[in-house]
Amino acid sequence: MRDPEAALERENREDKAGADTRRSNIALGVENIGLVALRAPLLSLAIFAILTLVALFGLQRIKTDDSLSQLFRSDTQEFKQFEQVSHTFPSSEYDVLVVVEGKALLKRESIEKLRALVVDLQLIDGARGAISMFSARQPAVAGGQAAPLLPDPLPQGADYQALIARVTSNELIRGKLLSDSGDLALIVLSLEPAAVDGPKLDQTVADIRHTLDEDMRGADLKAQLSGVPVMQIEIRHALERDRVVYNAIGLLAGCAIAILFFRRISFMIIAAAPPMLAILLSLGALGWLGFQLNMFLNVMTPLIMVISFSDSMQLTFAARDRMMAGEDRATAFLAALRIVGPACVLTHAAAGLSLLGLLFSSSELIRSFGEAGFVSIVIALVTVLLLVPLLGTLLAPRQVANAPMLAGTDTGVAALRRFCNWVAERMLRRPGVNAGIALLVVLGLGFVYSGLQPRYRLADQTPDQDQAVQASQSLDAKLSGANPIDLYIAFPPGAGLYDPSTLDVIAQAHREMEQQSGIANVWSLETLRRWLAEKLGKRDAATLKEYVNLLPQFLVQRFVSKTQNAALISGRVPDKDAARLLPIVEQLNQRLDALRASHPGYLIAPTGLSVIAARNSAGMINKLNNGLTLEFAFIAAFIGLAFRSLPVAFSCLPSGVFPVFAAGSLLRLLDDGLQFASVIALIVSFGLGLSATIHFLNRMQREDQPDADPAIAVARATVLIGPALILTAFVLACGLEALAFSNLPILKLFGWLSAFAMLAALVADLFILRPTIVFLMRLARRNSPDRFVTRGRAF
Amino acid sequence: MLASHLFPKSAALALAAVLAWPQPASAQSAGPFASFAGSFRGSGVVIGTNGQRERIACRANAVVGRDGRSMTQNIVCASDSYKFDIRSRAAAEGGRVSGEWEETTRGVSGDLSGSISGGHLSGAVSGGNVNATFSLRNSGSRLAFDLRPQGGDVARVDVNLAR
Repeated sequence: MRDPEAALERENREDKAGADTRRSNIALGVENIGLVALRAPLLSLAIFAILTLVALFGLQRIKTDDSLSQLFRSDTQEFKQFEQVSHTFPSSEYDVLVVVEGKALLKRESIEKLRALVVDLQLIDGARGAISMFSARQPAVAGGQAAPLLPDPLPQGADYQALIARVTSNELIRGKLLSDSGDLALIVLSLEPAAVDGPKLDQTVADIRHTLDEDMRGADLKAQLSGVPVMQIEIRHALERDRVVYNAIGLLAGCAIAILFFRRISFMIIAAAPPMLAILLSLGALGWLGFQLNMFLNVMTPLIMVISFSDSMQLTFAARDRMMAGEDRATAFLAALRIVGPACVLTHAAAGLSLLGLLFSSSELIRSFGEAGFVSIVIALVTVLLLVPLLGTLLAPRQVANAPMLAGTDTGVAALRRFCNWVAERMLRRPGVNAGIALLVVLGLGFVYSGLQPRYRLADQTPDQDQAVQASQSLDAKLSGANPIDLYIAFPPGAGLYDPSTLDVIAQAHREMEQQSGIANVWSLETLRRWLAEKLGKRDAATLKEYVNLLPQFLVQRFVSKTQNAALISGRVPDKDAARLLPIVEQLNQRLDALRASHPGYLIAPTGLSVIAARNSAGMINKLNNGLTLEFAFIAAFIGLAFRSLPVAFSCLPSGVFPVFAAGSLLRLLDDGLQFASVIALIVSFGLGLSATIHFLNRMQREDQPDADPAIAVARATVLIGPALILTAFVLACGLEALAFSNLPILKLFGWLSAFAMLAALVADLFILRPTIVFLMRLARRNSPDRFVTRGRAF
Repeated sequence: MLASHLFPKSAALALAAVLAWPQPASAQSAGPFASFAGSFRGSGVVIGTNGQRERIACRANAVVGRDGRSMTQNIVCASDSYKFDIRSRAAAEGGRVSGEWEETTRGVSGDLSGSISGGHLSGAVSGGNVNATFSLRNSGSRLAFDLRPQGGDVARVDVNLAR
């Protein structure tokens, strides 16, 4: 194979002789926007300074979306009903679940501490009321005041033991507010909707934690918080923490790699500053456009970083090579813009198309991610194309004095070039065989990938290092679940809450829900009705109405709408995978068919986040996955069209899908499923992975001669831009791996999976694309030598 | 049922709490409510007509108008099985006091009236099914409050608050 240094020299000579005449039109000349910075550098600098200032203000406008239902937010009837029910019955989403555990839970001193805790929790600003074992009362004697089940003060000795026996067997406490084993107690602290939906939530939850610490000090008990408001706070903190961590890691990693590679501060700034500014400008724009920071949008920082850094490295690398060959810095960066610029445009276009593909998702969150990603890609492209040449002409070392020194410190690049030379030699020796083997590997991995099953769990959306998930796991294990599942009953026009038919529907629906396997802790108006029947022997509507009117509004509105035209039956399910929840939801739905038939005017529908997740997650994930499959074909066609070449289009396919199939196979090997985060990671990785492919194809096209063996152009392109490709692939992988520092499992998964996919993309680029493109181009030229001749070039 | 027998007692307590505002010694204004401004915490007991006793804890915050003749206040009291949250407004004209109150957890509201003199506020509250007399006596940074509902299950409520 050819000497890489000689190839470089030849490349420089050729480019100097006629770079402009050899310029490809794959990007339709979009890269020429970079010329603006070269022609008016001071004006460009001033504009960037102003934009930076504007972006800083935009950054302040970004709000955090911590809603747990954000993934499923859509225009569907089901989600609208879920939102309506949440609004009409402010219950589960405003409940803080205080989980207290310990073997000493039922000791007298522990119960006293718990009592003090319940009192103090209710005094917290933003609390509406608490339900706990202390809420239970004994039947009123002769209509007088009902005595609490747990009196104050508590009895001593044998009387206390007898009391505990009554408490643990109480039908309203056992299995609902106290575990059967007696070592876990649940306090449901209901918060004001205004406290949860407004900016006070952070302070309210902090006050709850403080009260918990103070009141439980010295007790041999473990107290943790869970529930939607706590999860929201934990998600919000994790997102905000991640944003800082990603920016810091991205900045440090980018600078470190750039300085290691270029060995000069000036080149480090030229390569690293544009991505940094691209991040700032993109986030600023997103702020001004009203986007909210959510679990996916948080990925935008590393995403912009890796896309922009890849291209700024390619541009800087190309310019540096030319300076080493003796060109002045202005000429070198102009040439770099013309040679590498088109590929930069095309890589951004491919990544942008990947993100636009997300607009077909039914999830508002994923669509929003696609929109934000597309906006960021455009901003990143413009920033890189303008800023790299601008900084290059202002900061790069002057050619004559510095070129020898640069060449002398180029051992790392030389080593990478030798490796690329070795790869080219091996892969192009028998391209047909190698392409065949590669195709078989891709097909095999594709088969494994096709067996991946969709997976969704609420716990994956919340930080795993924080209390909420651990407390929920305790509730799952000892109280049959922490996640709410509801039955919504809307009455027909004219039917009242206390009509016999309405009460009958509620009673039967309550019974069906209780009897449904997998659902526990069922509460509704029927619970009060049963209590009245059992303790007072009254089951008439008038007594029920009297007691409903005595209860606090927040308690009544958990089960009856304010206008009394709808009711809710509330239960709990464990945090299972959506695939395991779906049968429970569908069985419950079927059980209600007879009731619907006998009471046709009543709308009876299971709802709640668990129901929405169980019914929609699999479909949404599958839809995204199918979209990815279509995207393979679409992007390959796009690249083929850009390069005016069928062999290029076909050769992109196996190398493009390899990282996706390999990452999917790894997931299956790890016994994991296809989550929202994994599909998004694969879609994004597919777009990013094509960056290397496009840069390579761009250079190969420039090196190719119509009458020559395409292997020569492929080998030369591999040696010339291989080092930058390898280095940027590692930068991309490192940037994405930074997400592994998140506490959010969904982002951790996104991080390591997309990092793996990036490295797999590099493997595919070197070992699949090279032999495949040579094989197909030789085939095309042999069979139809004139067919692919365009603009004086033949493929 | 949970909290099913709570209303008569808690409503009476709620009304009692409305009136139980202690006065800060450092208040700038000189009006009759001036010494009621500030934040306080305390505890008390609810005594039923059957002699049953239940402990409660309270926190309160009152904002007094510049002239000390009007007051807006919020009080939250809780036992281990219920709570109430009162927002109220009161105004003094000479030695007479009048105003209105609302208990937010149950959506009950009504009027209050009485007299104030030398750090001692007394009078009556009414609204919904509740009628009660009250007495509120200030001594420095402490406040002793006594409520006697008429009818219902609660015989008396005693609350002591401190700054």
